[in-house]
Amino acid sequence: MFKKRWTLFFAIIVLIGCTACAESVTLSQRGIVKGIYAEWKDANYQVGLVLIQGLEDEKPEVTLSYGKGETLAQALQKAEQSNDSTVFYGQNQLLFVGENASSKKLGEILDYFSTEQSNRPNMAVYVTKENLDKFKDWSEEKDFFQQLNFLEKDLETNKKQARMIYELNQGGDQAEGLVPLLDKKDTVKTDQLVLYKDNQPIELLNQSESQLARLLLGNPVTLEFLKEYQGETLRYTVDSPHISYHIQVENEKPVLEIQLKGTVRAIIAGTAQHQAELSSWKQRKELSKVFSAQITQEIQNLFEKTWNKQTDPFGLSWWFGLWNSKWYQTHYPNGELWKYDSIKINTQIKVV
Amino acid sequence: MPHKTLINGEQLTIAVYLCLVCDSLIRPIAGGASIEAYGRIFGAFICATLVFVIFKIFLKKCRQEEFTAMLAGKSKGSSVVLVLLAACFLFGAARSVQQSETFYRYAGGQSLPLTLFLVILLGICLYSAKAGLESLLRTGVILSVFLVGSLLLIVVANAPQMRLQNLQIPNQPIQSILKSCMAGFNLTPELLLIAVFGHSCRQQKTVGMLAKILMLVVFSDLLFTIVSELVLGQFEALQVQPIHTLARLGGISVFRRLDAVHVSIWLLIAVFRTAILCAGLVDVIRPLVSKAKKQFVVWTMAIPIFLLALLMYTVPELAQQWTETSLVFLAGISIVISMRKGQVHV
Repeated sequence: MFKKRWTLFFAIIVLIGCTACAESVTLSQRGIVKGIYAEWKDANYQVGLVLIQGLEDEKPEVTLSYGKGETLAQALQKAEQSNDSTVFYGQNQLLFVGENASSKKLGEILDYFSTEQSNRPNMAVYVTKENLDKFKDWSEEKDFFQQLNFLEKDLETNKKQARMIYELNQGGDQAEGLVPLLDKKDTVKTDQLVLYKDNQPIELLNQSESQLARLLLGNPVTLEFLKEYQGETLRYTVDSPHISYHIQVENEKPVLEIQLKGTVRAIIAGTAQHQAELSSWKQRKELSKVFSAQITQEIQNLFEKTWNKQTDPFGLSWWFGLWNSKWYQTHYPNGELWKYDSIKINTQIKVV
Repeated sequence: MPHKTLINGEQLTIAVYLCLVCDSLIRPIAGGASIEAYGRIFGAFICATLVFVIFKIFLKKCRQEEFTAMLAGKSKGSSVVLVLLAACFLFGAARSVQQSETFYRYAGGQSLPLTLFLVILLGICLYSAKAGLESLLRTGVILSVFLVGSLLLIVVANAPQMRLQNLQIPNQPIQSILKSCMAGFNLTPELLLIAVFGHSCRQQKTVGMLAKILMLVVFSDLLFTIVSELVLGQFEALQVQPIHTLARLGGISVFRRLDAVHVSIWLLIAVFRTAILCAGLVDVIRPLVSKAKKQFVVWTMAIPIFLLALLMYTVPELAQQWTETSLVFLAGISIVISMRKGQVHV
């Protein structure tokens, strides 16, 4: 009995000793990272850590901590050392890539953060047109913290289909795919996407193309378009658009038919009279055709900028592999899919 | 001395399953992440069938009475068998200790010094082994509930990120299946536990247990493989611990760091696996030592496990796997041979 008690006592002492309470850091000593900014200038990395300090206080303080170094790790270390708090990365969800780094070092930056343990592999990546000074100015704006919160909220609702590190890093330091461009002229916007191929930005998609791109990336979106019709501008919304894929064989070659189906319930016309005219059955039938043709054209424009540049940010080639893996393995590496019209678009919009 | 009490077959099934699934959870590149899901799934089926065939023959040979006598050290050649079994469990325990520490260091960021970690882990495991198999098996049932929760949480938390297009098209299907079999085939000492601890059960029952365990393991691997490829796609090949990455990625509502919950459950399972291997080791060593030394057996086992665990850090993963497989195979063969020749002199 006596022996048992001593064993238990010893076990409790060991367990208490292992809880690491002795080296605990209180919340007020912590600098919670809310965002990381990375830039490349004069063969050096510049890093800015957006830190929130004093979370226990009523008004937590937002500061930017800088660091510079030949490698990203060195720059981050310097940034950590340049403030008094113990930096905590666990909650950070935002990675901003500066103007210069976004055109030269995106792959390396993504590679670093995808293998680094203290950060999350699902940080949302944004390329920006800001250099370090401009980013500093932004961080000093009064509503900077709210703007970051806005971006985070967007991630939770998943409305804008943020692109995560793990979706863009193709192994090694190669970045490929679509990355949102952060625009903060009046309010924070991430409506435009930049296409990367072999680590280089090759195209900028406008808002209209980006919404279609997000749909093709598998995100539930509502599409909004403007259309000149009978001398007036109409604004319409396609609700719950749905995409399906089918492979057809034409002239002994596979063709991927992308079928987009959707319903238009809301059309806003310029005048009340025109609005009333649009509700007739005949008009609705006519508009269904007009909108379908417009969206087909929009998708073709999007493909002109993406697929036709011999890139596959939407993973379309996968459907060819699914159709016939042998054909895919022999023809895909030779770029066969880009040698003929391998994609066909079919849009069926219904105005109700 | 072998266990005299009747072991609950279901508890033992759960315990062995936990030990095997632990491998997928904490071993680096456990699933061979560079191989497509296609190859890995077929590989898992082939490996499981092979293991089943080999172990079925083995379990059929382990006739209850003779096997009990052998484990008690009372039949011809039983000391050789017991030494081989001890070698298997020793190797398994050391490997489990090394894997647990590596995972703890990988997932934890800040960690305890290696020696301190090993001392504490071995202290806990050997104490549990001393506490008895029944209590260990009961703990296994509780852990299995946690594991199911953890797996469900991974699937639910990652569901929004799954993309069908992430499933890779097999380049050379046959080659990738063969590669997967090479990387995944492993006769583990945990499987011997079915024989060592389950010998009091009927033979049919042990074969049924084996089938259940292997089916559960294949199902878990199927789940891990498909979910990780659906979510990570090509990025999976870059991961040291794909399932841990899934745990880090997933989030439900505002809960974004669920990995802490997963890691603690997986580490508990790793401790459980080490403890049950220690229990196996102690069980087969006891008949080999004299009566006076029996009470010291448990704690003295810490020394060989500790040293072998340190040695494991220098041995490559694949070499460890095949050494373990050969040891288990050898132990199995020796049991079968001595069963044929053995004469029970009770």
